[in-house]
Amino acid sequence: MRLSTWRYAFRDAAGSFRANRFSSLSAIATVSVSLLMLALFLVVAINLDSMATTLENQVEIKAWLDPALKDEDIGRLSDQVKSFPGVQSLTYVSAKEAMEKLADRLGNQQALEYVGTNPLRASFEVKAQRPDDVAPVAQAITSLVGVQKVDYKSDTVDKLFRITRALRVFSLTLVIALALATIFIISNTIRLTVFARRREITIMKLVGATDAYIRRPFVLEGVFFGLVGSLIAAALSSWIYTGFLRFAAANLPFFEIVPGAPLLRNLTLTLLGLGAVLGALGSAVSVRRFLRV
Amino acid sequence: MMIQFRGVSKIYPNHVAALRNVNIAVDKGEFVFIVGPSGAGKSTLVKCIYREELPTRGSIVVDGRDVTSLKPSAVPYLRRDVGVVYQDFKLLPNKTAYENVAFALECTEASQREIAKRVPAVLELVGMKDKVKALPIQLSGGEQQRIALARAIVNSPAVIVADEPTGNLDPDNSWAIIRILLELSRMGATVVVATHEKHIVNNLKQRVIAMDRGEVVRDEEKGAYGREA
Ligand SMILES: Nc1ncnc2c1ncn2[C@@H]1O[C@H](COP(=O)(O)OP(=O)(O)OP(=O)(O)O)[C@@H](O)[C@H]1O
Ligand SMILES: [Mg+2]
Repeated sequence: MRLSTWRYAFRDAAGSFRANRFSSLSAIATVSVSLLMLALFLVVAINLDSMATTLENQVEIKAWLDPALKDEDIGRLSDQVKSFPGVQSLTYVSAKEAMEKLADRLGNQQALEYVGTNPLRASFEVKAQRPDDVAPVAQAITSLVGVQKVDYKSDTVDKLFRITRALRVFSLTLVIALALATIFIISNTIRLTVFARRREITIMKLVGATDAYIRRPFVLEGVFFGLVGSLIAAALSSWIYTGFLRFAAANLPFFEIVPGAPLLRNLTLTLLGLGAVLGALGSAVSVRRFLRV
Repeated sequence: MMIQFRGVSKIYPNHVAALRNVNIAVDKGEFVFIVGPSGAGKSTLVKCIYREELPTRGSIVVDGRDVTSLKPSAVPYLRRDVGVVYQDFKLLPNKTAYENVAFALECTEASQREIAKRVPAVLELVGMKDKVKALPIQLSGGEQQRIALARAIVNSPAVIVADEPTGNLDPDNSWAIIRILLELSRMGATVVVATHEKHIVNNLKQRVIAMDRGEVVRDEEKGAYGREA
């Protein structure tokens, strides 16, 4: 592609921006509001998702072992469990350690002495890699000889699972809805420009301009709307999030808020990319109808 | 052969048969008038050359391109090879004479240097080099049509088609436009002019293709507008 082609496209895009200053600026404003909503929703969703993941990771499978097992049997069993797919880590808790933990919890160091013999059993504490590995891993451990009982908080896992899935579906739906709204805003504004220039487009087709050439200035204009709108949205959402982080550090010590460092940079890049793509799509939609000559 | 119609029929969606089994062959450098009563199919024929309309049946070859089976992406390149002049000029009102002509070259993605070289040359050819900065409303009909003609030829097309190019002009301006078209055909362009101008056709003794109700009823070298006229 020749440089001059781009020069003509930029000149025409700038020209129509100037000619439609008012509707261009209001399109940019509307696009930034729409993208700002999208951005704020995105950071909320990311935070909820990160909390859910933290909780999910705390779900543990507990497998109580036959007291008759010898140390080497336990070692072999432990290796076996570790080799299951989906297992992230395994901690062995001996009967003695279990009793010490219990005593700790009861605040009574003499618990052992009262009972005389230790009624607790040794166990494995197994962590799964992902929440949906929990059930199959538990199932697999149950079938091992030497394991007496396997337990995990299945209802908690299911509930968490349902919440995070709903959250993801909801975020996706909202992001798509906002993206469509943005395309709609941009295409409506570009439609005015295209309509004002429909005579010109007809003549362009008749003197042998390619569709790509005709589309280019409109697409540039749409991309420009999208980029400026997303820059504004990124700046505003970064400012809001930074403020929220400061507020949370002081007032919400129990919540682990996702830090701003990589998040806001990624958010800005995502918004810019999204703005450009949505702008291009929005204007391509508007021009299409006028290319049939 | 520069333009070849073989068994071309055009039936519009409203079932009007605008062309019926049209066979024409026009050589390189020829000058042809298309005449006939209103509704005979002259405009339809002309539009088929640069594929503003597609025929319902038959084949059309223009400068080696099979127009009827052209891919949509190849249509712009056909149109760069066929300069078109319209009865209503189709100039852009917000662009100057110079810009209107330059615009056609920009559309073919020509460089600025090429534009700066070729636009003044064609404006000179049509005798408009003094009015390059004028907007269309500041020009007379004849001047506007010269600008439109300059735009049609700025790409050096092999074929120039004009659909009633003098329909809105007085006799002097009409003659001026036709003379330029003749000159272009002498320089090697193939020129097809659909017209109602009896006087001009009868005077010039060029090839005449007469149409009636979608059919070619007469095709004569050094022809006249009509036998009875
Ligand atoms: N786009 C169209 N849709 C339907 N019918 C059409 C269309 N264009 C032309 N026609 C019909 O096709 C026939 C031929 O029209 P065309 O314009 O080719 O005639 P013409 O010879 O150019 O007439 P004129 O001398 O008045 O310009 C006419 O009956 C006309 O009504
Ligand atoms: Mg006509």
